Amino acid sequence: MEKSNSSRRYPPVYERLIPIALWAIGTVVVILLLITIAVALRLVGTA
Amino acid sequence: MLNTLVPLTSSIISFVFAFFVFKRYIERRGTYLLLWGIGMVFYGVGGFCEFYYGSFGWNALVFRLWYLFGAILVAAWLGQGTVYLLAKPKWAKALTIVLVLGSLYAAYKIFTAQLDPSLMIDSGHTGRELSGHAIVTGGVRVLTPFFNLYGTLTLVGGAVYSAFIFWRKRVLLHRALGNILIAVGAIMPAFGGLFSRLQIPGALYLGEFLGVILIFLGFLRATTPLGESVPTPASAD
Repeated sequence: MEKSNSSRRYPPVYERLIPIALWAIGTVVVILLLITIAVALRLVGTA
Repeated sequence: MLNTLVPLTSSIISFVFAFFVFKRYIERRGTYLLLWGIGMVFYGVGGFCEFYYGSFGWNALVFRLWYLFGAILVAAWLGQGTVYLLAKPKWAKALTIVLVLGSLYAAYKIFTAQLDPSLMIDSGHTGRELSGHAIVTGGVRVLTPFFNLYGTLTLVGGAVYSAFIFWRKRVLLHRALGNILIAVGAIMPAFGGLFSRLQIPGALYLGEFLGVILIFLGFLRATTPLGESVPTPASAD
């Protein structure tokens, strides 16, 4: 993430918010995927 | 209202969104637009079935349509559009063939499954919302997580990946923002489903409603350049 092109910048508010949003979404997706996998394994077990 | 007006509004927004996407497909082509349009039609069908059940009660055909399009196929088909946008064409085509065959198999399983609506009043569900618990036949509900896993990975993963690439290069801010909105919107129905399992009434329909709004806003944001120019303090490349 540090390899940003230093010659271009987004407006400061987006410079701060976009990486936070990406991390937050990534974290939530990983948690949701783990839950989905757990549900899938349970359904496979009961099918 | 949670079981009628909310899904009806989701459905209407989905069909309007599908119209915009199909219009763009006719103007620009691009298989990803066609697949996104199909995915949004599925979203709209799912929402309409939820509205129908909330307003008029149980109907086996409506339930089967809801489960096929709203619970199983929508995320995967939307995600397949993203696959076409980001993956190599031969991979995208191969995965599309797998998805079409999987969708046909799912349709066969759902339309031949035995149903019992009384089972929807179980496991914390009140029966006021549609639930896959009504499916008696084995080997049907087990399909859902696999389609949704694929859909989430491709749709949300693709949007996050795109937003990250734009952010890293500091280009096309509107597309970075649009993709973040799409990713958040795509997560919303999954959140709704999760809270629905935790016995929060209306959570699924509300999640779908917020989801389609955010995805629509994200699509509009990503396809509409910002008015202001991106500041370039140093000289351009």
